[in-house]
Amino acid sequence: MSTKPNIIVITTDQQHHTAVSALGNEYLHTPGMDAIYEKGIVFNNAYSTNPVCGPARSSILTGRMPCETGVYDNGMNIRKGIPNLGRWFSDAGYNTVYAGKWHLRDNFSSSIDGFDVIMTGINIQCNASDTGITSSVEAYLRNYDDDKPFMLMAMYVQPHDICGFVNYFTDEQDMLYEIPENELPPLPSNFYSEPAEPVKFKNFKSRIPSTRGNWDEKKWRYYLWHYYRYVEGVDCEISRLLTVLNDTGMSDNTIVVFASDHGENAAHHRTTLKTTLYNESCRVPMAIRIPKADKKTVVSEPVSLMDIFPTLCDFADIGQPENMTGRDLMSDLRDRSGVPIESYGGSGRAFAAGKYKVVAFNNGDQSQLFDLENDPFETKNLCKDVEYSDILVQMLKLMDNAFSTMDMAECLPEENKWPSY
Amino acid sequence: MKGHKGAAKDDKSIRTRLTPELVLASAGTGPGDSYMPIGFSSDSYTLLYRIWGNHQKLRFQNKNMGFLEIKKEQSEGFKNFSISRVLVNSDNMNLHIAANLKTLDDEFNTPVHFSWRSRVTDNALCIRPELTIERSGRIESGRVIETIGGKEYMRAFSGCMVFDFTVYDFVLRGIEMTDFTFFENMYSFKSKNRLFTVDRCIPFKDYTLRPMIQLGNGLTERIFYRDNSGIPIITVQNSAAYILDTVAKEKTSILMEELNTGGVHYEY
Repeated sequence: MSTKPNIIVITTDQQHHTAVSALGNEYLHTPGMDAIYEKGIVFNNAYSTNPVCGPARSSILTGRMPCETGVYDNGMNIRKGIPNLGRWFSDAGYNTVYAGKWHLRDNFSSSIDGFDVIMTGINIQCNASDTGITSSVEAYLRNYDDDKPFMLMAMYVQPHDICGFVNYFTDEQDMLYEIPENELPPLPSNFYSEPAEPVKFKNFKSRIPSTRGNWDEKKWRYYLWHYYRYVEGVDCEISRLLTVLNDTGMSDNTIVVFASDHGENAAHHRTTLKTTLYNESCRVPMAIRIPKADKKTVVSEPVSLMDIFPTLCDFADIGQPENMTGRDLMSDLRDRSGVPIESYGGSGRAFAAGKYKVVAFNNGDQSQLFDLENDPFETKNLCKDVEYSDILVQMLKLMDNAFSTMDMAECLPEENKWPSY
Repeated sequence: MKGHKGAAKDDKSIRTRLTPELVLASAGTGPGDSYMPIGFSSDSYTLLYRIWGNHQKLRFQNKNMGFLEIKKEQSEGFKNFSISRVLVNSDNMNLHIAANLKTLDDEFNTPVHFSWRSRVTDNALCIRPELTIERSGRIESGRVIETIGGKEYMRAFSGCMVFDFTVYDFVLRGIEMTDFTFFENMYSFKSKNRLFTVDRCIPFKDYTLRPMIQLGNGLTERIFYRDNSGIPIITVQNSAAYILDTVAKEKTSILMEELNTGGVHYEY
């Protein structure tokens, strides 16, 4: 019998970082996720590397930024020569299993390097595939009879289908049914905030039916109500998966990692979906449940999805691939300057360090600087405030340093040229 | 930026309501047709649905991704619900779930016995035995006693066990659901599930199609388009749609274009 732990990585898709009832959100009920949070390591300042599905997933799989993996958009291949989680753990003696959404090149592939694929997305993605993922995973786990440990990825689709809701619930249509007023979530405090919005963001808003301006406040709340139902839907699947771990006794030797690939704007800054560099789009829920842990631990330092790979290497005691940009979250993070974020769709880069976050754009838009401690909802751009001019310069330099030390992929688009700060 | 497929390039509003012409074209039937599927009656029926994925632009993604068969059989004192669902991915891997639920023939469909099997077939059409699992069980004294792989488990029972898509039975009867749970999530009981009848009707010759919406905690909205005999001919849930086979014949693509809930996918 192996002494190494089993590992399960559970991801949701487009989950707002507060959409977990264990975090005090009273407008949804997520007992599955709560079970991971209650005695887990909770990262309450976790960031996606890029708030788009494919790029973010390439970071989970490689421990690197999308500008390094070459996956700057959905449906692209990870650059050759970079080992993925499956290959790395397989070579280290793990049974490596993949179920669920892929969204890199060959979207529906049943053959992924390094993995035994037990079910990929059903015609890309839909709610039906989430139940299918759990059914396949349940069968795999209940039948597991091997001395080798396993590393299993269960990549769920929801609440991503909120994208469809946003599309069909246009301003031409009324609400289909009434939800009691006390069940409708309130609008976020930064709903009307527009802190020197970049042009790219304004263009983004103008293209989406929901954000063109004709939803009234009640319709926005109606959308939020639905969004939480999508989250609860995928939570049912997570509950089911955890039940299997408990039934089989695997809970005692299985590390469970939970995260979303990116966030959801969720009415903040009066917008929906993702790709923006605001925190609602970039930040993700993230927690790790370690067997037999008896209390919750909260980590407040900024961390990143690309940190999952090196952290799992630590848990498995198998060493890391060379040149990883992600950091082992079990190590001392105090020497980390901050966390980089990028968005090619948003033509921007961001860097979160300490209480500040800077956002810069390569299309001439004005940068943004936020004091996240005093302004967590990013309503006041401090970029032109002379009191913060030194901090702005310092943050831009930190960001520049972080990106300049990365091993950039050659396939990045021409627009990826950035000024130095 | 080159090759950025996710960008929204047009803002055309989609998901128009089902038009009479469309239903006519799809069903290929005329006035007087009851839409009654073969084998259907108020007490027992067999309904076969095609499952379609409608994520992203339909002209690229509108592919049949499976089948769903729902049966209800009535016998003296009991009802027997069964469901067979096949999901197929683009590499022809498929996941087949077959489930059965026996209930008392009472107002609450009080569950007596259930069984469930999940099986995966690879893209060479070979069954993967390590991905096959069977569960069966009964309800006793308010507890679920379940056997999986030769082991017995006891769980709390929420009070109502109705598995996925037997919801059709509720819809057919127009019963307001106070309790409902997915079979695949039978222990994740969710309260506050409700059925909403939408006031709007969609006229079609002698019939109307009446949307009915079912939702609740843990469940996203599921819109049933029923004909005037109450049979759900189309169900849309998020980015999947279920279309009664007798309606879908050769016209599913047109239907899906119209019913699509995510036809223009605004990735950003």
